[in-house]
Amino acid sequence: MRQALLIFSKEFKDYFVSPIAYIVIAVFLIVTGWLFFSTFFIFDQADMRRFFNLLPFIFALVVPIITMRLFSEEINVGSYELLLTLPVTFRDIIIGKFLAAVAFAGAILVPTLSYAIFISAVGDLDWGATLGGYLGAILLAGAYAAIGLFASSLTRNQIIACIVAMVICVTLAIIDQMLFFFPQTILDVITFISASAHFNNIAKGIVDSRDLLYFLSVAFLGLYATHLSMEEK
Amino acid sequence: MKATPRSHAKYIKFGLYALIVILINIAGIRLFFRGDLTQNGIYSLSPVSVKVAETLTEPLTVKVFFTRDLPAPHNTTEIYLRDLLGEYALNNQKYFRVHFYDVSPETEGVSEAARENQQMARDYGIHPVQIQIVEQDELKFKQAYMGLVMIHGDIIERIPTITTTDGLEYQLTTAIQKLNHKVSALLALDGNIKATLVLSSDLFKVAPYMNLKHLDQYPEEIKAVVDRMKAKTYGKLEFERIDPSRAGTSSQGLDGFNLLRLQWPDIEKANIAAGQGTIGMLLQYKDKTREIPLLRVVRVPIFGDQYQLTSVEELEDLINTNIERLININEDVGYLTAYGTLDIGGGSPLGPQEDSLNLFGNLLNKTYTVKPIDLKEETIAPGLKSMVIVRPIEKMSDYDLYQIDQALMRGTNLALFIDAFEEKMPANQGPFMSNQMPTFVPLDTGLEEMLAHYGVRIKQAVVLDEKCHRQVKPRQQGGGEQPIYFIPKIEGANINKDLDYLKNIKGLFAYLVSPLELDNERIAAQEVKAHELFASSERSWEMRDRIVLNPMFLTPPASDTEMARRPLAYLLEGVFTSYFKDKPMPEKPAKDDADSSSDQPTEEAAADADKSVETADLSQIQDQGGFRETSMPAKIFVVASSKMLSDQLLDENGQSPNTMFVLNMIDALNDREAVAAMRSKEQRFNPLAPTTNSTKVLIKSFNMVGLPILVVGFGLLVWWRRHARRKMIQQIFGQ
Repeated sequence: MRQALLIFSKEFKDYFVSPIAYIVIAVFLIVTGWLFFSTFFIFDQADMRRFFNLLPFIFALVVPIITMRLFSEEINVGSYELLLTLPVTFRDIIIGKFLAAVAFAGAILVPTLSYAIFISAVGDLDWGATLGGYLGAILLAGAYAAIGLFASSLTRNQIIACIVAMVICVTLAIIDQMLFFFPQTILDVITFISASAHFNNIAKGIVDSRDLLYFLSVAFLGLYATHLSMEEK
Repeated sequence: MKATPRSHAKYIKFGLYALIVILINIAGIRLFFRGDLTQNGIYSLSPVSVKVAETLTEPLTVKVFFTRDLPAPHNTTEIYLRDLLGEYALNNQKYFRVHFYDVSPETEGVSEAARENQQMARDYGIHPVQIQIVEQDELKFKQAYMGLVMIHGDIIERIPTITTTDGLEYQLTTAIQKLNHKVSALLALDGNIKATLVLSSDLFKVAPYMNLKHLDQYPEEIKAVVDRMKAKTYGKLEFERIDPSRAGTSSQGLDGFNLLRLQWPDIEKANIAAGQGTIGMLLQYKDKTREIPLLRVVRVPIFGDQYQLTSVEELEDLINTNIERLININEDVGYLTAYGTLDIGGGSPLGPQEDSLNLFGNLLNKTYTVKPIDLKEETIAPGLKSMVIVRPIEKMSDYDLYQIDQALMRGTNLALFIDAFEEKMPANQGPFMSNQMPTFVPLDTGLEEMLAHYGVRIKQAVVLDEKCHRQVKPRQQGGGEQPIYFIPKIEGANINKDLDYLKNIKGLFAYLVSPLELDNERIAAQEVKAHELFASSERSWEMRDRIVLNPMFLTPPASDTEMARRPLAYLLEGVFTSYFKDKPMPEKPAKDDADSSSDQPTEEAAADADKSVETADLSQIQDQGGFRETSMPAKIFVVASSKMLSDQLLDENGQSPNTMFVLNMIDALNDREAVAAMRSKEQRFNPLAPTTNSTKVLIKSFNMVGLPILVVGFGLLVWWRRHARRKMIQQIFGQ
């Protein structure tokens, strides 16, 4: 586990060395800020639910960018072989990189605490529901990061890794909006695999074991598939 | 490359893990826990709602017709409705089904599916309502569907307009409860309910002169309504038509009913002979009958009499409501009539509204059956859970007090809205036409003394409070605000929050209220607990003896010594001791005696009364030998103001704090505390505080532009520091 933490520490710091990180955070803040605050006073509600409702889709675009380089870059520049010579297991590498991606997704959310502070200044913000929203956002980022990590482990090309992860994550984010394409008999299954449906529950302040189980399951399967993919290499 | 058995094993292992994960998720669907992080658990259903959802044994389908993308606050209502219905569905995944139908606005392009859904909504009696929206700084009106229907078996219950989240869970839960009761009650009927249309065909001739077109088609339309409703009442409704004009048609027994009878003279021009006709509808089940008026006569100045026929849409609702009353799906609440008590729901729409309890009656009738009790004619039924007494002004006989006392002893809870004074207007002058103020005469009905025996004394005074309703004065009168000291504003801090059903009552208004005094000795002597429910502020005082309530002449007392907090409402609960303990059993007054107790008894009447007392037949005394000295656990709610129930202080939707307080108290007296607590549950609608434009611009600018700039700035700072460090290292090693 110590090795995993060392890898986490290195990867997390690496994010902030690159200017890409700040550009990603800034773009994320511009998009969410504009989408949320342009109609905030028209909706006249002292809550952040509409901000959290944006996250399944926006994270589906942002998290793959965060994870795309994690393995692809190592494979591409050849540092992957070097990494394998070190006294670390596949599990340590995967967990370290996964935690770094989730922590960076969390770091992206930190400036949005400003939304909560401003809203509480002009209204009675429900901090319980807000806390639930942030908890849900971390779980969502975890599920997407595992998928992104898997996509990154498949190819040496970062762009391909990013696109593969985005396709999977966006599908999970919007599939519940496209139920009319599916036959009635599988609607329940489709709704269940939708990340948005599970996230919306947490975002409004309800912690449901089924939603937690869903996000942990997606993360586990994503990480296990990454493990499998790395073993193949 | 050929796959090795080892790599096969890895994939099989992955497949097995995936299968286990799927199975755990499937198991998790049934075995789960939920936690609500929101303030006051707004997304958690109240225990009573959970129970109602869980106990459904037949499918209940909720069809929601809600126009999408409505502006605030209606969008919040839709979201909350979705959440709430989702919670019900979670508690009974087998039988509770929810469908949201797309009904896009009529003014925009409507898809075929949306058009069909709109038609479905209208067929269920849900029509679009007009709402205000602000678009591009302009106030506009928009038609929107905002209703739902619940279908349980053959029965339909609808909530045609949901414009607020306030009390929505209460509305839904009570509607489901009602559906459940109604299905059971209808299935248990051992006969049909007869819907009899009484309509004289002679009226068809004069109808055009009454501006009633197509009256001749009315019977067919009504038959269609009844037939349609028959399908929704398990076939328990049957239609019958009586035409009193036709020879041989049975119209016997109609005299006893309050049906509208019209007479007309000869109308020579139209060659119509003088005649008469009857119109109305009767709903009958066994020996019970409800009358439904079909024609209303409205007397309009200058225009004369105008006739309004009940529309078939209205009729469906009326039949539905009256069936509920007929089959008694609601619990009874007793209401004391006579002794000058206020009329509940009986006020004339054209008469003065001051003394009517129309709103209270309507609100109560939604969940209870109000059972009028005239103690001069009948006794209080032993099983009655609660009884409401509002402002008796006549002296009650010992026998009547005895009946109330014994009802309490049997466990009937009492809600007392008693005035300490009777307000008497000067002769020949209405309340708003006179320079003379009304006089306030202290009341002594006998109930006050009995109440004092139980532990609460009503003081002969009116509470005035500096924290009170403030009336905005018109500009002609100099503008500003006029404090109305006799309408104290009860702040949240002065409302008892220990009782669950009062927790979310944020404030109240009392009106012409007298202070209450607790008799601790009496309370201690009985096994009774007293809860002070609300009190006036520390800046309140009392007006005694000469009561003058002209706001212009009222000023707070010069000295603070009179200022004090005064209890205004109490709930006593426990085991009471009878007022008639160690007293002789009162005799039932003879009927004539009771009838003679008018405001100004004549000498003759008084003489008759004396005579009747002398000749009172002792055999009329009821319940002899059944006297109870101590009560079963019971409750008494008391507030010394009948105005708390007046139409001025209540609202028809039951959402104002005053209305919630009153209805919650009635629910609490009927052992429905959980339902009461649900009514005033914290609301989802959470608007922003009034914010200036500059603040709005600041918030928007900082969060939309400022934050990204700060992040980029931070990035540049990190880059600059790294760059400077790199340069420094280069310099060190370059030298």
